[in-house]
Amino acid sequence: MKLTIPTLHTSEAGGEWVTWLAIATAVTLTAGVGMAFFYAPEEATMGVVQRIFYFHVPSAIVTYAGFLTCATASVAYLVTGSRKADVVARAGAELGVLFCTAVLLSGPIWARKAWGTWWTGEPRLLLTLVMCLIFVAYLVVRQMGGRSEMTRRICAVLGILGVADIPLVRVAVQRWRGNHPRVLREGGIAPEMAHAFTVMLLGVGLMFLTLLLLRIRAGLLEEDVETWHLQLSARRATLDDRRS
Amino acid sequence: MSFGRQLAAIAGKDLRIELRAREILYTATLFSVVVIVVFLFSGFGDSGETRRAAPGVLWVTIAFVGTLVFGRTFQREREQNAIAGLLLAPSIVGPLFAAKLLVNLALLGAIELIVVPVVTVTFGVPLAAVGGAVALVVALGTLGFAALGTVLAASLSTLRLREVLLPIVLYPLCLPLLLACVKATQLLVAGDGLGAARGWLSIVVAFDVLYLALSRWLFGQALEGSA
Repeated sequence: MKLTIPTLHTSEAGGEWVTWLAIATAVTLTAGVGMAFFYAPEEATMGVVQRIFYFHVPSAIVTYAGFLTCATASVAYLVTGSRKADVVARAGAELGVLFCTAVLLSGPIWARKAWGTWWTGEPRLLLTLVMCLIFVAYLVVRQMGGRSEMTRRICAVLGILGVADIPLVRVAVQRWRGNHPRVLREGGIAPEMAHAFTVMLLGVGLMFLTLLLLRIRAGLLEEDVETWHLQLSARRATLDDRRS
Repeated sequence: MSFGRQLAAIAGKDLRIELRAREILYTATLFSVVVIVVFLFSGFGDSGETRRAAPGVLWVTIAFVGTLVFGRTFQREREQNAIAGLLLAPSIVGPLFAAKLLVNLALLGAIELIVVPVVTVTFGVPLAAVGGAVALVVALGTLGFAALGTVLAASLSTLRLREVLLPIVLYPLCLPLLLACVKATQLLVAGDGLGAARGWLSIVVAFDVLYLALSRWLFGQALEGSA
C-alpha cells in the first residue's frame, strides 16, 4: 500500500491574497475606529454610548452574511457532497455566531442608556437571540457528532432549517410592536456619522471575509490531516499484519 | 407497493408496538402531568393570574413531551439498525416520513387529550367555553411541531447525545410556531373568541405548511447516508 501525502489546501482558500485582505482589514478597521471616536460628532441625547452603533450595526449585518453563507454552502453540500462546501458551511456558522454574540453583547449596553433597561421583549432582540441559539445548537451538533459523513449531512439540514426559520421568527416576533431605532431610514444622521459608519461597515465586512477565508483554510487543512491520519493507521495495520 | 400501503405498513407496525408496550404513552403522559404540577407550584397567585399563565404552561408542556415522543419513535428504527432494512425498499422515503409523522401526531395527540383538560382545569380556564377553539389551535400547532420534530429526530438519531441534542435544536427552530400558538391560545383563553385569534391562527397554518414542506425535503436528505 502506497502512502500518498495529501496536497495541502492552503492555496485553495484565498492563497496569497488573504495576507493582503488582512492588511486591508487592519487599515480600514483602524481608520473606522478612529473615525467612530474622533471624527463623528457626539450624539446629543445619547452621548458617547451612541458610538456603539458603529460596531453594533456592522456586526449585525455580517451576522446575516455568515448564516447565509452557511445555508448556501449546506445546500451545495447536500447537492454535490463536496467536503469543501461542508467546510465553508461550518466557517459561515462559526463566524455568524461570533458576530451575533458581538451584537448581543453590544446591544444591551446601548439599550441600558437609551431605553433604561438591559433587555426587553423587543422583536429584533428576540430574533437575534433565537438566531444565535439556532446556530449555537448547530455548532454543538457539529462538535458532539464527530467527523462522520452523517454529522455533515445533519448539520447541512440544520443550517438550511436555521436560515429558513429566520423570516418566520421575524414574522412571529414582529407582531409585538417594537421600538428599535431606525435612524438610517429616517435620514436623521449627520454626514460625519454616515462616513464613520460606512468605513466601519467596510472594515467589519473585510474582517469577516478575512476570517472566513482563514477558517476555510484551517478547515481544509483539518480535512487533510484527517485523511493523512486515516492512511497512516491503515498503513500501520498492514505492517502489523505482515509482522505477525 | 403503493405509497398508501407502505405508509399503512410502517405506521401500523409502530402503533402496534406502542399499543403492546405502551412505553411512550405511559411515561410521556405521566411526565406531562408532573410538568403541569411543577408549574402549579411555581407560585402564580390569584385565579386571574393562573388563567393568564395557562397558555404558556400548556405549550411548554407540549414542547417538553414532544421531544420525548419524537426521539423515541425514531429510536426504534435505529435499534439493531432496522432503518437500513427499511431503506432498502424502493421509494420509501415519502411513506416513511408520512408514517413517522402520523405516529408522532397520534401519540402526541393522545397525550394532549389528557394535557389540555388537565391544564385548563388546574389553571382555572373554562373548558366548556373555549375547549373547542383551543383544541383547534393545539391540533394545528402540533402538526407543524411534529413535522419539524420528525425530521430532526430522524437526523439526530445516529448521534450518541441525541436525547440532549434534540431539544437544544428543536426548541429554537420551532419557537416562532410555539409563539404564535401561545398568542392564539392566550386570546382564546381571555375569551376573545376565534375571530380575534384569526391573525395568529393563519400564521400557525402558514408555518405548518412551510415546516411540512421543508421537513419532507430534508427528511430524504438526512436519511440518504443511513442506507
